[in-house]
Amino acid sequence: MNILLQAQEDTRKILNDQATGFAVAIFVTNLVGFRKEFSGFSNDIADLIDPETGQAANSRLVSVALSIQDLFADGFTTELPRGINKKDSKAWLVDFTDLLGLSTKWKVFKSNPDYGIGMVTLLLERWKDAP
Amino acid sequence: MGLAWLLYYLKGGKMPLNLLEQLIDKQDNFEVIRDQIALILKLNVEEQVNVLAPLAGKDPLDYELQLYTEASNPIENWLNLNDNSNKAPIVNVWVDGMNYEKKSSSTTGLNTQGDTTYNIDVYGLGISTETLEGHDPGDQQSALEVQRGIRLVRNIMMASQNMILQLVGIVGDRFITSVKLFQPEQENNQSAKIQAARITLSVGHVEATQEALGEILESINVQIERDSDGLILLELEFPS
Repeated sequence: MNILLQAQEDTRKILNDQATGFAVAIFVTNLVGFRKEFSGFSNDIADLIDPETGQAANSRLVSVALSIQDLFADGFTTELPRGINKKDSKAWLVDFTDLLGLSTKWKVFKSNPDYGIGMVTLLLERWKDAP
Repeated sequence: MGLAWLLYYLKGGKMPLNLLEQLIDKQDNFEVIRDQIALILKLNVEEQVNVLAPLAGKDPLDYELQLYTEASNPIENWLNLNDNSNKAPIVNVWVDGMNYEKKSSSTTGLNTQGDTTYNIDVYGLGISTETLEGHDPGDQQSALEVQRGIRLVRNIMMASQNMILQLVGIVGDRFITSVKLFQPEQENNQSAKIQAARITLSVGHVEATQEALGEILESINVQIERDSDGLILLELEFPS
């Protein structure tokens, strides 16, 4: 196996290692409303320094990292989750449980894939279900 | 000061500084105006929400604003939202700077005329929300919210009732000179969709400074009389 394929396999294993690694259960809901469980990294952090300018900023970044191979497996989707801005379309949604045991639902607003190692980082924003 | 001090100075001594004699315990007019702007906004919003909207059968929440003065981070609560968080547009009033006109001020500078610029920053929050057709995107919602906040602030501040901000004798005029909306940067990865705008309000007003208390140099008693031939006579007496 060449190094690139090895890296892709290693990425998938790391993102799926909930027993001994940093991975957690992450649920993704696609555009037709089908929700499926995956495994990956979740990140929810206050960002005090803007990485672009180095200036002090006040923000909150929430993201998840998932295996691209896992997303495309079993026909769950034919495209990567991404930000949807059309009002006549559903949105890609992500939910996961935080360290306090609270489950929060988020909307994907930006998708940063790395097809080289097979990982996609989904940047998340607040979401509210219909009343 | 007297002859003694003059002789002391001529011998190379330093003149003592003439200090203010009164405590500076009143607000300057630029501070009064800042607080008045916030009060005008607050009371008018309350009137819209509590009285006028219900009378018209409209949703009071469409007329609500959260008001701050000189806040450095008024949107902090929005970064950690919960179901009870207030999501109404946030308004923050702060002083940007003053320009004083030398020519229209008094010679001593005790009474000064000028313009103070106030920034009224408006923030709007958007939360992507599911709908029957699909969803309302949070970024668009935040833009609509901040523009709604601008509408409320502009209509209140430019109403005829507030032509001189209801500060007679202090304010000469007020005018919104610009409204600037800030597009979110492409690399903005924040989870909270917030858009901002700045309303620049220029207020012409007077500013007064305490007057130095006079020092009695000499006391003079003057008696004025009219002589029999109509001449005005002055009799001066120097008690000291």
